[in-house]
Amino acid sequence: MAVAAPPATRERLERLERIWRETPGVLGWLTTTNHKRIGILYFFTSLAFFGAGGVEALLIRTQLIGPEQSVLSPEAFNQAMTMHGVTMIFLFVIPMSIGAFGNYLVPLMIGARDMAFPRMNALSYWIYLCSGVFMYVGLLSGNGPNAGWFDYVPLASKTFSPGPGIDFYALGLLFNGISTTAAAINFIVTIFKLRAPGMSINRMPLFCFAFLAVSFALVFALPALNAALILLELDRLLGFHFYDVFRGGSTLLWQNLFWIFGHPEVYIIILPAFGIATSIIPTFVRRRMVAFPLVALAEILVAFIGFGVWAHHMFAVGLSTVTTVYFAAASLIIVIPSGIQLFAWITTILTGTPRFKTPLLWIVGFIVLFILGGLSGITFAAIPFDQQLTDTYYVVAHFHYVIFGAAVFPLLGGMYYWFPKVTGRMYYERWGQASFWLTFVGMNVTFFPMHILGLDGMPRRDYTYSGGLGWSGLNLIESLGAYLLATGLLTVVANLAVSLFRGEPAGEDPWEGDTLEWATTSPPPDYNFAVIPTVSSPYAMWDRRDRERDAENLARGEKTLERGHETPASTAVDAEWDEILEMPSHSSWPPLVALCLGGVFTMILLAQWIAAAVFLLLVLVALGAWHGREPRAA
Amino acid sequence: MSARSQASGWWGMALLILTEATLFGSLIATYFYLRFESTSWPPGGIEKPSVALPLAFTAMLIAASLPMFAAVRAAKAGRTRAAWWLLALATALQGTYLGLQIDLFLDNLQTFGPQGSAYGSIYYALLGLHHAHVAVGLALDAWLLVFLFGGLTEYRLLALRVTALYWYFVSALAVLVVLTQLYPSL
Amino acid sequence: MRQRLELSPRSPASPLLWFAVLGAPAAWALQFGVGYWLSNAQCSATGGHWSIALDTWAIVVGILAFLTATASGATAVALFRRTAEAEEEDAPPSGRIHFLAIVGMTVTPLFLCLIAMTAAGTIVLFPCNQS
Repeated sequence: MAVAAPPATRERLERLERIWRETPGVLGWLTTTNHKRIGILYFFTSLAFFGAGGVEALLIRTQLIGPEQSVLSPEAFNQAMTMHGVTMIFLFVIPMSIGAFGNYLVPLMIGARDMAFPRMNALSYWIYLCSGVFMYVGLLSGNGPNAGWFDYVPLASKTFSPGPGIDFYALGLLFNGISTTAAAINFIVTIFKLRAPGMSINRMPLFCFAFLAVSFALVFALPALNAALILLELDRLLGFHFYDVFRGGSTLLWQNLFWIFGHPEVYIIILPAFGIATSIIPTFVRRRMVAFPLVALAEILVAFIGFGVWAHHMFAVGLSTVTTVYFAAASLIIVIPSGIQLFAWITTILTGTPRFKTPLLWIVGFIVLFILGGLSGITFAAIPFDQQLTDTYYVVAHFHYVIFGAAVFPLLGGMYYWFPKVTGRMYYERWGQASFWLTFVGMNVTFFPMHILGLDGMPRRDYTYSGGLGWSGLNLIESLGAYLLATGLLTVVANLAVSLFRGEPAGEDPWEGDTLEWATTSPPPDYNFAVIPTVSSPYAMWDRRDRERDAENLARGEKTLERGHETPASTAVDAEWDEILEMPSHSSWPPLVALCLGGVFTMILLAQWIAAAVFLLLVLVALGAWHGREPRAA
Repeated sequence: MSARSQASGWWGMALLILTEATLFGSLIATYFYLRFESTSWPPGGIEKPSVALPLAFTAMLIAASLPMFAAVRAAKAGRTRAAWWLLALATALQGTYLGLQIDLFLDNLQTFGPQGSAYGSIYYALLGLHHAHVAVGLALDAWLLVFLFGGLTEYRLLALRVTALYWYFVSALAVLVVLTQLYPSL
Repeated sequence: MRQRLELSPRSPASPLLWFAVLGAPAAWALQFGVGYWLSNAQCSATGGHWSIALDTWAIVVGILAFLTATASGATAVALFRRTAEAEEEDAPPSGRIHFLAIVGMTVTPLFLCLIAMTAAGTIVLFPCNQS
């Protein structure tokens, strides 16, 4: 607050600070249940995995810089290619968007003081970290999975992959899946119950609609992957025959189960990015989003219809036409919700007064790349075309445009957008713009030629190619583009790192943002809001009267909830005030449970069943003790 | 202040149930997917499953929902001891169910195994995972029996309601699983 | 103590309101689920065993789905007109009803197309031709 606060208000703020204060030091970070700290933990961990995935990518591109190179052996290439995919999807993009951005911002945007299940939130993080370590122990010990991120059988079966690599993959992902499922449940309950009273469903920020869609998609998609992985491990470790054609099993069973997860997964990857875009655009063009209900709907619709398109990844396996028709129809129709969002974003930008600061640049870049990626995707809905281009570099081009261009660009834009809020400092704008251009150009130089190479017939997932095929020139360009892209990304990191120490103070609301995270200090206090905000639209920060009301409430001590570690709960749809919740804080159980679960999976990997059972028992006992601590009665 | 909408813990359990239901949906779909791929089901040499015992056991599990339901009613009315005993009765029934099912499971293993065919694999995997879910339910019961002994609070009442919800789900699932298991004989 | 469940759209749990929003998607999901499984069964190794008339099923299920989706769209339109004076950001119940009605009206034509396309494709294509 710029003006000196009256004594009563200062007393209230001090009381809230005392109640919500985080334990200092390393122990504080290990036992934290505060959503902002957990978001920061997720941020740095997923950034580290981004680096690892990037190194894997550069190794791949260096191997392919010319024909018949021997930078990587075929086995090493397969491991690099597999771990690149697994790392980028499961250990970077999902944890960064959901764990870092989601955790930090959703409670702030809905006017709450924490997530619905703070300790489970911490558990999600520690399980994520342990599962990432688990998988990298595999890679770094020379036992990395090598059958691609999609791990098709029969290559992934024990017969053709006798080593433990695939087990690291399957058990690692089962382990990781627990983290993500818990996070999804946490987001749904938080968004349903912890919205500030007055924030009815038609007044919820679009960012939260995106996260609601993502979370429901995860709840329904992850079980299919879990089923596929459980069956795979039963085959591999206990000699079952789910995927064994000679004993009545089916290799297509894996593909179906995997893609029933895998397709919604790619929408899960992109939806948080949509959420970030719909947060940045209104702020930087200074107008409300065009067709707000349609954009909200489109975010959920993409997730929903996305469950009906999975076999378009299998158009070349010989399914009957009457089966594929369901997927072809849905794959065509799913373009429309994306189209609705694109039109809304573009119209909002064109009819607003844009300020082309770094965050908006990243979003404009995202729109361009999403359109390109979407267009190449639509071509795959035509089965004859798909059957020609499947397993070529055309596919690689498509998904990098949509994953890198459409999911990562908004993440990078979001890092710049919310950097002032999280750190209290501004980044360097000129370097920000430079980092965008380096990345944008690098990205296009790397991935655009892949469309051409694919049409020319270059197969994907191959560790090398012959010199006389005419592919060498474009491959060289792509690899150089990759180095340029890496430079752009390093510039982003360097800019933010330096700005962390030397940036100008940012203040509470440097962008005149539209959502509630801008209503509090930068960085926010541990209790987020001294007063539970009054809300009457999705653009809460632009409602002057409501913000004045907040200040009045603070002065009078109304809606401050200072008797304990409290946040309000409201009804699910209409957000009417329901009750006051007492939230837990600081607990050692989450990291302990995560470690014991790590023990379970490690023992299963080593086929030590008794030890695995012992660790499982420890997990159950720990969970029992964890839930023995009760909240104070209201 | 009494609340108008369900507690967070209730929502959490409801969502967990949704995700586990989807898992079993995938497994039941796997069963029928594999069935469609086979010209004989069960494959040669394996007998069709006998119907009587599995159905009887399932009925027993469903029956355990009654004392469970009554336990929740009693707890809501503040009758802690009655709730505790009803819960203990439900637990006994559920535990007996699991014991009997495991016995049958081991018996079946004498005649055909999961390592012999895809039929065996999905048969035992589907049943085994369901039994695992029953075991988790017993663990929840155990927690409740321990903590309810110390008296009833809002929190423990919620825990009881949420556990009951879990059991209704497991019972409904048992019906679907047993119908799938017995499908060749129906 | 929970409030008694009201059925009118004024209640946030109103079946009518949520039918307007979810009716069309649910109809498609059902058409998809039933159709996909039937085609899988019929066109599989054991296909001859059941002799499923895929075309008949496609027509019947398609029509049912189409009618359900139409009904949900009509409900959405009715609710939209009933709350015509409201804006989508107004307080509940009228703001919420108006918002969800817009959602329902947008969603329905999309799913009607999807349902029709799916049914048409199934009928036109020869069953069990390999793609």
